[in-house]
Amino acid sequence: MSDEAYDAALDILRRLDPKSISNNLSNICRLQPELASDLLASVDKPLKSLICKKTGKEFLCCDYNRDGDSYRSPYSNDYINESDGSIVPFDDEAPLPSKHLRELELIANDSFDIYRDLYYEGGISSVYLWDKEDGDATNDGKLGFDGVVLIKKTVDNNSSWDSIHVFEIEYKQGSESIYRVTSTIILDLSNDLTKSTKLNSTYLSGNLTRQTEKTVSFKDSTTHIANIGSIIEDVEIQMRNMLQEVYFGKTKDVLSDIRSLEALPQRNEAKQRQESLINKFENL
Amino acid sequence: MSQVEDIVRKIIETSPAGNDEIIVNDIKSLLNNSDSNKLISKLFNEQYTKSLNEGGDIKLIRLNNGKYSILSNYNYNRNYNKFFDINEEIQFNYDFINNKVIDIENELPSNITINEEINNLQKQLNEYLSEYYNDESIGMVIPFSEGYKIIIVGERLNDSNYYNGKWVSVYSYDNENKGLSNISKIKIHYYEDGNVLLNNIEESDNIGSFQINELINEINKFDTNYETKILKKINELNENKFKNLRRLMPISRAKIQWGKSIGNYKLGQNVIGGKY
Repeated sequence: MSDEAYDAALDILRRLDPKSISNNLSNICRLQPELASDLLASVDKPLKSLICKKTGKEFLCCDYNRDGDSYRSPYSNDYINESDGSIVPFDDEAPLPSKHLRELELIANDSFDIYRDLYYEGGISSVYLWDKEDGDATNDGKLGFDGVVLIKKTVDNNSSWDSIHVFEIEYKQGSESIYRVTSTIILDLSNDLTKSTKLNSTYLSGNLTRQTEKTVSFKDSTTHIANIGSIIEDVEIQMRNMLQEVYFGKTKDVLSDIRSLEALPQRNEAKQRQESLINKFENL
Repeated sequence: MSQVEDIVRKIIETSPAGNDEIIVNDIKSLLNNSDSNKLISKLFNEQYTKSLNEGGDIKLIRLNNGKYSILSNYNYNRNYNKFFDINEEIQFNYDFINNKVIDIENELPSNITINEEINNLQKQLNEYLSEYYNDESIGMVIPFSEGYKIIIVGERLNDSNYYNGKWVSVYSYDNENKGLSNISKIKIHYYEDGNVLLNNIEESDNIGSFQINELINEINKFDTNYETKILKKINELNENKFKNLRRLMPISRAKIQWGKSIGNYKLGQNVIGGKY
């Protein structure tokens, strides 16, 4: 029964108004408390941010840098309490990347910060890496690691873009690794709401997800960062085109499909003109 | 129970255009109790008997004879807790679990009388819809104490291609001052490899004063303006918001050289003072 409820939860969250996803997700977790941890880990919702107390910089939060109600800062490696912003005293149990992986994590954060600046001209990015169950990430890159790249940008307080790329690196053979990336982009666009008592609101809100798998050669563990960077750059370019097509192309098509701006006789006339033109060409 | 009820109500309020069947089944699996049908039916009934400006919605349904009808606040007889259909002259209930019309009675509520004026309006409305709306649409003229409600519902449901859309429009015509007002709602849902929603609601209090024989023509004009406005708004979201969130290509106009030299971008930025 629990499997059925889990599938139903995922299915319904894929259909309900994406603007209410955070609300509906926490509500469904209240209906099915035993599914909560699985649902929170697999349903993407708009990213929150916290301030790293030591550096004063803002970082992004997701299930992968979470421990209870605190989130790890990619700058200081401290866990920050969500409710009061304080540094959580060191705890053996809280997951931390191994020493070498932490070095890679800092490189990854710096690299994606530059990427973010070049493409987004604003916003925040955070990268979190974790060691695999088989063992800690090695210098030679043969034992890779998993991670998540997060980017968020907001404009005019009402429209935002959230990228969530979860990746894993699996050693293939020789100097090749397989990179698997699951990318979700949450795009929420809305017009400024006028302060009138009348109802008047328009928004285009939602998310698209795609999976990418690529085999690329590497030299050492730092090449993994470069490879992941370049794969994510390509994925985001493609997904931006997809978003453009769906958000602005599809919705307009469906709308004009429900009601046409031209009356049926005019549409038929236009169709006939087109057909007779084609006939003329064919008879040439 | 009331917390569960609030949660299910919220789910139903935020459900997409299109068939409610999948949503009903998902809620049943989530509730997993024998009373769930009763609760789901009650809350769907509530959703389709609330007015649009209170967050309610209108449902396009098929009668047992295959013709379209609607479930709405405006054709619901509260004394009797039944919906009515002016064109078919019937009253009925709706079974939200099995998606069908039940308990049909072959008469209209006693306070609803049809006259020549309604018949004329309905005829003109049907003609207008057949020229501008697709086949999955219906228009209904419903008399109320001050005048007429003119309801239009148009859908395009295409689950095999992962999209659904619904346009709901309610016009109110005041017989005394001849004033026309409107509330319209558009929902377009695209859900292949994701979940994207265009959501619009707009209230227009005073469109103008018109004689009854001009009404359908004015409604046509209003619909066209409204549709043009929504299409324009979609373009504005593209131009003013989307394009400011993420560039298609980076400021440096070429894909990034990842690796150790990526720091050079920052160096370059520092040298020319923040501009590439």
